Amino acid sequence: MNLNKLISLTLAYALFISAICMVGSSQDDDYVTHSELRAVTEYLEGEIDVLETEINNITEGLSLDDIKHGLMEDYDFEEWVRTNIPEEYTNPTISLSVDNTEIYRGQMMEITTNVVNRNDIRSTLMLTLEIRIPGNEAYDLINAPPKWVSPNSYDNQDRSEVKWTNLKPFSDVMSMGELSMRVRVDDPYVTDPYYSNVVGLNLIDNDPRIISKELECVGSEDDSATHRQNTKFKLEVADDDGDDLEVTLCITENGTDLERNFTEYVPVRNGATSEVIFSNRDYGIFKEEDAGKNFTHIYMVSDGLKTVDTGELNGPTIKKPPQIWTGNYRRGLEDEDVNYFWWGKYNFSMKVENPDVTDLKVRLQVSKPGIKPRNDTDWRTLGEKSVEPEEDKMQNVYFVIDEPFNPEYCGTNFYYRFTYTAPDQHGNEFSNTTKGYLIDDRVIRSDVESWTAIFNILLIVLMSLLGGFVIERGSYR
Amino acid sequence: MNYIFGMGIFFILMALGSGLHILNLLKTYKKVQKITEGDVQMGEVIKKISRNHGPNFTAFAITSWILLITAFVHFYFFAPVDLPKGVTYFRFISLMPSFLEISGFGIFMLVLFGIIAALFIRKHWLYSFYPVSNRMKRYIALTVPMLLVSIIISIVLGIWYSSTLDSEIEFWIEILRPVALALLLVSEGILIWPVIAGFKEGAT
Repeated sequence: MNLNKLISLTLAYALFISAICMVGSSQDDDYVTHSELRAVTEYLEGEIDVLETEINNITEGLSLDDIKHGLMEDYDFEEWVRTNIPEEYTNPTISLSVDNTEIYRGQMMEITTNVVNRNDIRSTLMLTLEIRIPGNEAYDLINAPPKWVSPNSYDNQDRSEVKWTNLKPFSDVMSMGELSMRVRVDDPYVTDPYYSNVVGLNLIDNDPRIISKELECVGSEDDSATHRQNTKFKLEVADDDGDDLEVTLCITENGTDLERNFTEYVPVRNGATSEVIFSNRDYGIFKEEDAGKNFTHIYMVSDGLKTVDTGELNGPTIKKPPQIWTGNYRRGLEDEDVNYFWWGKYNFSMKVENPDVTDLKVRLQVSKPGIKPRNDTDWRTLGEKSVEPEEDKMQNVYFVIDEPFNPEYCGTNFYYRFTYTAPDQHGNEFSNTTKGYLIDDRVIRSDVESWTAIFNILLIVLMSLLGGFVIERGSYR
Repeated sequence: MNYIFGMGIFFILMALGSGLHILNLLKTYKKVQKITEGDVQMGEVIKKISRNHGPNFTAFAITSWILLITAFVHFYFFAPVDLPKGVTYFRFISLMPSFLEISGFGIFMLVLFGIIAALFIRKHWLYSFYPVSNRMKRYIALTVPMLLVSIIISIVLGIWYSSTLDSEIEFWIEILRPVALALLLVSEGILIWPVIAGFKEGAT
């Protein structure tokens, strides 16, 4: 079987069919008359009949598989193309353009390629994007499928536009700087590939972002918890380049250099945020020997290129395991006066169960005048009591204080609390801050009819009368 | 009721008395200069025209002036009624021993103004330049009990000062405060009256 002849005939057949179609499609052309058109069509149809007859003769008695097998085995399409390159073929012009001059690694981009092909006979072009990343000498293929420019995709200006849209080609590039792009053209009519113009872009990296951070000590108002509690370190991060982030939690014991590092890798979608949780339950961050220690922590977030951190953050404090149980905190007036004067006699009490602490001391503290206590220096200690150990018994601790306040408290609320020398059921060595009373505005404790008041008024009368005479005698004369 | 307006009247009267006193002195000095054809010093004029009203009156007059300032300070600066607590005696009451918690402020003021009076009041002072009738002397002496009553009222109101007052005490406060202020201002008027009279006399 002369397969080359078969192929030639087949192609000729296809060419004629195309010609008929083209002639048919140009019926509206003002330069071709109907009679001319009919004549050409009849001629081409006659030629097709001849070709069909020849193809039938060659393939007679052959199955389709035989024909395919023969094509694969004997026919070299590229060789055929090379031997059929048009004599006056010039390389199409490929020009590449992008919208920006600067681009960050995760940015979606659109690349447009304009192809101008003025050849009469055009081949199908394969366009492939190539980049040269900063620091590299050679170009690499970009992670995007090639585009095909078929001979019939040109407009009447011989132009064809090819677009690569929603490209995110640089996420894996880890060196920043000048980045070059070009389009490689594979043209069957040209032996070697040729290239478009080179476009330069400045590639920049977006730092990873820390959106929020939280230290969650379950069941605690402040940043303190026992070593058994599931303390959670929560961090919300984002990266505009869509990089996977390496999040490290570094915990340091106050006053030491001992660090505990925990790392988690977080996939971050471009533009979205991801939450990382380091929980004491999962990571076993705190141990029993940490009881009573204060810690600081810092989060470090890296995208492989840059690391950002939160700076040192306070907390948590790991509470001691409970040794006593406390409650029932009370305050009141000892005498029958209904007014809360600063000179009144006040009582304060609480209950404590102390199974085995031998030297337990309970102190009563009230706030300094006019402030709500925030730290230890805002308290005044009014008294101290010792509590002996006693198994399975809640003991009352009473404080009766005469004049616990001074005139500076007048018109202000006071707060009180108890402190202990052993941790309570909450791991604290102090009770919650509790509001006391509004101390009455009255400053002078003596009544008008009291001897003190009479004595004071007489003193003023006497001194003023004496004063004038003393001055008159001593100075005036 | 806010009594800050009383403070304004007090200072206006004080400024009026001071201004008229200076005017009186200058006017007299000019007259003497005219008579003596300018051959006289101010000090000499003061010595020449001053007169002695007697030790008892002088002692009462000095007492009255010290009491006037003390009564004014008690009215406004003893209890934080018109002014904020931070500028009143109540802010510093804890510095006083408990047995002097009421009079501590008054004693401090009396001593302070007594020292000032002792330093500045000499033989020739305010009333030496004016003729003071016996009736006027009696009025000036009367300011001593008036101002003492004003001070005592201010002290009593300070003792009562509280956020939990019963209505009876509130009634008395409403009565007594205007009385204390009136006694203070009337006394001030009496004390500067010889100066005003002297000015009127000079004008006529």
